[in-house]
Amino acid sequence: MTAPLQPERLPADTAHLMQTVLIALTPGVIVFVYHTGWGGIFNLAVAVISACVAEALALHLRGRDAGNGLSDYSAIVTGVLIALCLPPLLAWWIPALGALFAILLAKHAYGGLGHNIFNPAMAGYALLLVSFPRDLGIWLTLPDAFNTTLAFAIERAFNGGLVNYPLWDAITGATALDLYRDLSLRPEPLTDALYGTTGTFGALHSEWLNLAYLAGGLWLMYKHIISWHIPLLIIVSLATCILIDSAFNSTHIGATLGLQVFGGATMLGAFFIATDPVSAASSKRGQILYAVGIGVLVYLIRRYGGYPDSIAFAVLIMNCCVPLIDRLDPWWQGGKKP
Amino acid sequence: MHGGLKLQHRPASDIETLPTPPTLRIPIQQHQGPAAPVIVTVGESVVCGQPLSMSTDLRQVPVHASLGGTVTDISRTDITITTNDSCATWQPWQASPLPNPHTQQSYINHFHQRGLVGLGGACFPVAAKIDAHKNTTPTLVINAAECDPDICCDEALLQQCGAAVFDGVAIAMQATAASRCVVFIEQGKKTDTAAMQKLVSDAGLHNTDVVAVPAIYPSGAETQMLSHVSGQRVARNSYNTSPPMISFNIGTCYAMSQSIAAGQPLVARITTVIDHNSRARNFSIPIGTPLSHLAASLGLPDTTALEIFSGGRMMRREITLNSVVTKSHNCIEFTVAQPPVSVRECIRCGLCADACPEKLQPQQLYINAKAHNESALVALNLNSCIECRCCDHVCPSKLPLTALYQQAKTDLAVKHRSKLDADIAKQRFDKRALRLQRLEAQKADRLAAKKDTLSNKKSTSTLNKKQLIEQALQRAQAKKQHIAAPASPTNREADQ
Repeated sequence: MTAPLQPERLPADTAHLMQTVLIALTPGVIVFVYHTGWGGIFNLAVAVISACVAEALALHLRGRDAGNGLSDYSAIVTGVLIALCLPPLLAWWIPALGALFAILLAKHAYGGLGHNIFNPAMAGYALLLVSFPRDLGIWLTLPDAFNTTLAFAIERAFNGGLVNYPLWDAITGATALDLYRDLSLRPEPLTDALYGTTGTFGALHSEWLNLAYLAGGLWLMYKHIISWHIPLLIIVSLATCILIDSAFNSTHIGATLGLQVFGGATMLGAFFIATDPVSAASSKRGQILYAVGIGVLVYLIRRYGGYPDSIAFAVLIMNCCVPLIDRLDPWWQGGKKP
Repeated sequence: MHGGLKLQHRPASDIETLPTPPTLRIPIQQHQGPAAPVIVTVGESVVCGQPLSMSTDLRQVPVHASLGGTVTDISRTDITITTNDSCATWQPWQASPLPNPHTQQSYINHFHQRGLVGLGGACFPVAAKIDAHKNTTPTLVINAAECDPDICCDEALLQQCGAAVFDGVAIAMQATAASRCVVFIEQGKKTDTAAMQKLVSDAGLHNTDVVAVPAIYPSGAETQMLSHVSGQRVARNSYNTSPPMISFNIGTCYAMSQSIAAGQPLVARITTVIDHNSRARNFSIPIGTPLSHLAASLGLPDTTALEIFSGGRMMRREITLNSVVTKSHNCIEFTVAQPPVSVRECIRCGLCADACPEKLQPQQLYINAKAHNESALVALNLNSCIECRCCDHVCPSKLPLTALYQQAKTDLAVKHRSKLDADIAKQRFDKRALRLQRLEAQKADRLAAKKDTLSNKKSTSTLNKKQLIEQALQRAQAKKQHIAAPASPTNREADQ
């Protein structure tokens, strides 16, 4: 049972829908920029510009109207989402490569807007993650808050990023999820403070970022752009897995739960990435399966896999299952085989 | 009800009368079903309410002269009348009243002869509907839930002629032999539940409930209403519920009461007319009034720059200025032409599935309809789509979904029919092949039997060859004697 729709609260068209998503991302972008400084802004600019150039190029090659295609804002959303996953002070071509791959291969090679199987932003990010694991693993220890200058950010962007900076060890450190993963892999039980991985209620520093994404996501829900099914079920299934795991391993249940739910890219993934309508399951019943799959996969990869965070891989794996889930739906509904 | 759209309704205005149209063009076929044969000739003078076509077949609903005048032209589709009475003073043609006693058959004939069809927009013949439910005690469902936000003709009718409408409901209960009646209204209208209850008790109706449903489009759609009353899911075009249900729009009930009380045929209907300034007015319009006359009497400026739609904001269909008002037009809208919207690709946002009152998957239907994937369309229940266009209205990519579904439904129906034809042809072919085979077998049997007897004869004859020769000789001898001897009287008789 769904509530009746009120036309004045619905998005007028696709462009308006994408604009609303961008507006909903604003609180997250502000906290992200506070954390990453000029490096983050530079990444955002490079990713958005490359995404738009790639979109125009692809549309031109496919014989479509580039202006009309760009005016739907979907390329900008993809660029922003890629940049929000990347650490600051990268070589300039890393965000550009991610955006180009996302738009040209993950999106337009499959037929453009509405036809892509994989979430373009996550496909682009996954490419970067497996190609440049060292570059993407370096995050600033403390929120930058524009302490590093714009000149330094640009100098690093054109000289190979922070990896090739001799003094990078002093200003960077592992993320909270990375630290937690190292801790949990050790044989001895975890200590009370979880070695400084936790903040007030979630992961150190990134909890505020997650809170900002949560706020934007709730607003999107109010605007009828996304429904509650996918975000809620991802968070609930992830939390359930963590609770079961913690109950058996009798460690700090509350702190671990906060760290996992308000840590890494959980909220960004749950509200802005997994809810991408194109690559998600189309029916509500299908979305339940899709979301639970993502939540469980996030837990499994974070706990047993080779990466500290796993939103991108979990989403991409479930994207593969979507055509199957969509085919099963009429069968669930009426017992008729599609 | 699942989904739907919450839309802002217009307040109903009073019912007005149009200036008399100088000519009328009355379409011969305005209902679902074949047209009745025309019974007037060119040059004949007709009075208001006189039948122009008549048939005894309940599916062929007659049409009537909406105003008095002279028949000036009869084409394949329309009858043109030059009018000579005025809308303000017209007297309905006095036809024979309903014969006593009032049997169900007399009601059916009466409604049929007066050209009554459903006035909710679909124009299903009233007589045929009652006839289909003969010998049952159905539940009568009265639709006063006018859910399109632009149409307010039913609401105006209730406010001005509520008593007559409920007389019609009482007549409908008698005519259908209904045991129970449910009146559907929408919440938030001026005629609320209390007002309806009062009308029900004034009309002396028994076993009648008033149900107020939330004002969500399309709660007044027939499938939604019948599902609500029966408590079971009613699919489109297969209303097999127990007890059976029969539904009428209140405009139809009003027409029934007029046809019984004054013997008046269906010659005018109440239509909401929306002008280019988006102002809605209700008119009682004679059937066959040209839209150009309607536009002129509304004082519309340049009609060439206007787009004309019938059917309200949601179900609207574009019509031309050459059209006339028919029994199906519950709303006619004149709007300033809008630039075409740019259509984008489907982004699978799922807003259509949220809005669909039939709980379909419009997005899956869309991709399968585009791919002509018929088995998937059937599995996704394409034929349950009631074409309410909620999905069109919420689609951010502005896809013409309902138009595509209509096309796909037509294709499916054509395929289904040609498959039936092919099946019949195949059955015929198979039967013929069997028959030929059987005949062949019989022929072979016969031949074998003959051969058998022949060979038997042969075998016996070889044994008694001499006897046979003797017999033959005897026969020949006898013949000779017979010819030589004088003919016996019996033989002569036989020769004669």
